[in-house]
Amino acid sequence: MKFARAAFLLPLASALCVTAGAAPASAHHSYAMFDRTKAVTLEGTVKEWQFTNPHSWLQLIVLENGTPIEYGVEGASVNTLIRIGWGPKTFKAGDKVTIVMNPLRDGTKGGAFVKATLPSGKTLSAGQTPG
Amino acid sequence: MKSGFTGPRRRARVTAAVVVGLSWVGGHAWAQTANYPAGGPKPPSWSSLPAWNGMWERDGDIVWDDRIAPDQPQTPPYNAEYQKRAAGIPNRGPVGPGMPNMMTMIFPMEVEINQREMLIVGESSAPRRIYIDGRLHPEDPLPSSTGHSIGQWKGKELLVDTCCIKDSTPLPGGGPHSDALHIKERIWAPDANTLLDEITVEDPKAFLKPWTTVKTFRRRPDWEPVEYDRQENDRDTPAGRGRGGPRAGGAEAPAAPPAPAPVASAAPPAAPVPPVAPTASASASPAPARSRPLGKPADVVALQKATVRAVGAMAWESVKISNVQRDPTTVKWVAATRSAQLHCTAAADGDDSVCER
Repeated sequence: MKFARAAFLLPLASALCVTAGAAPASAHHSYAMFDRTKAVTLEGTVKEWQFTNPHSWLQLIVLENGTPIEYGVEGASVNTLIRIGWGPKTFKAGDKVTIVMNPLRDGTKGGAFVKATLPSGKTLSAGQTPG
Repeated sequence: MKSGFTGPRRRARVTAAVVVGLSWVGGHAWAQTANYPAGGPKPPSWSSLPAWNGMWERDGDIVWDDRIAPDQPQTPPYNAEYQKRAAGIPNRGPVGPGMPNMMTMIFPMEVEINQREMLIVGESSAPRRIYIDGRLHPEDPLPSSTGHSIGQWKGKELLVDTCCIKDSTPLPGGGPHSDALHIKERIWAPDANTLLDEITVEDPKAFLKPWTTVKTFRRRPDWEPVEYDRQENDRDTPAGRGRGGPRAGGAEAPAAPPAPAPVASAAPPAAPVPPVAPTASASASPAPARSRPLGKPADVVALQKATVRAVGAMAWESVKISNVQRDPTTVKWVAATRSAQLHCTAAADGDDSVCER
């Protein structure tokens, strides 16, 4: 499937990008709640990295029009992520990171992990398990 | 000597036989007490056991039968009555605890074989035991999600029969089964790094014919099991018991500003299309220079593994690589699985891989 690619720069700190995306692996719940045709790019500061089951969560603070907004970005389970190079120290509080996520359809501040660019420049991806 | 079976001596023998018989029957009457045939257990010798111990990863998709095309249904061959019973039950896919769902193994499994049993431990379900010491199924079984499995060796293949699966344990896809459910398996290793399990689900009361699949597992000699405690941070419960509040962002997050409208005005949908990376990524510090391009002989395996690093929960052996394009800093390729065509990009050494549909 081919999705249109277009980038929109937000006036302030965060940017939004529409591209083809994939959602993280999950055995836990359906991904119907996420819009997998959209990929939103967030630049923000890590509040907390929860490397947990059934899913991992990155609590990210993003400045929107000068207001700090907390996003919950949902990733895969510990056993899935640790086998592709993620870990409990992947993010630490205060890290400035760039995240791409498939947003929640209902518009609340969160989504499913697609990829992360760490302060080192390293990219981590969390794709969708086929099937 | 027949004359020896009369009088007090005979009575004593009969009494002893009754006592032994009662204790034997008593053992049988309790479900999940080993039901050995006459002669007791017949464990195989240690040296005859195959070298299957260790961690194995599911090959292929998270489906019941990889041989069925992605656009075709994976439903049991129900008869008319069970088709009616299954109607309206939401399809929960081939995952979940119990047999035969658990053999789809969304997460890796650990196998340990000893003279008594082959133990199969997944990371998200109860362990399963296939007894190989000659015992029979219980005469008065206690049904369970994994059922009761007994195996016999036929050459290097383990032939398994599983009975006694709980009514409440759904079949793959979520459908029901009858009390006649039996599962037969043939487990063998065509090579040292591959384990195959041919599963035949028989339910003469519910099916028109047996329902089969073949599951493939790939050896992961350096993997260790990883704990999967789904209660740890579950935000799907109504009370949102997970850390950091319910699913929709942090509970303590300030309310979103009411107007995302300026976004649209600042960036009309007809904005020019960027060629590769999102603009926001450009602000990240550049990746260090790569000096180790992928060696040609290892290309395919390296790209298969790079695909899995980008996607996760998938055996690299199930990925097919094509259309590899390189330049000094990046490599691009197409990775095909049974159900997905992924367009992948990575640094020249295969690091930092990202795949998109």
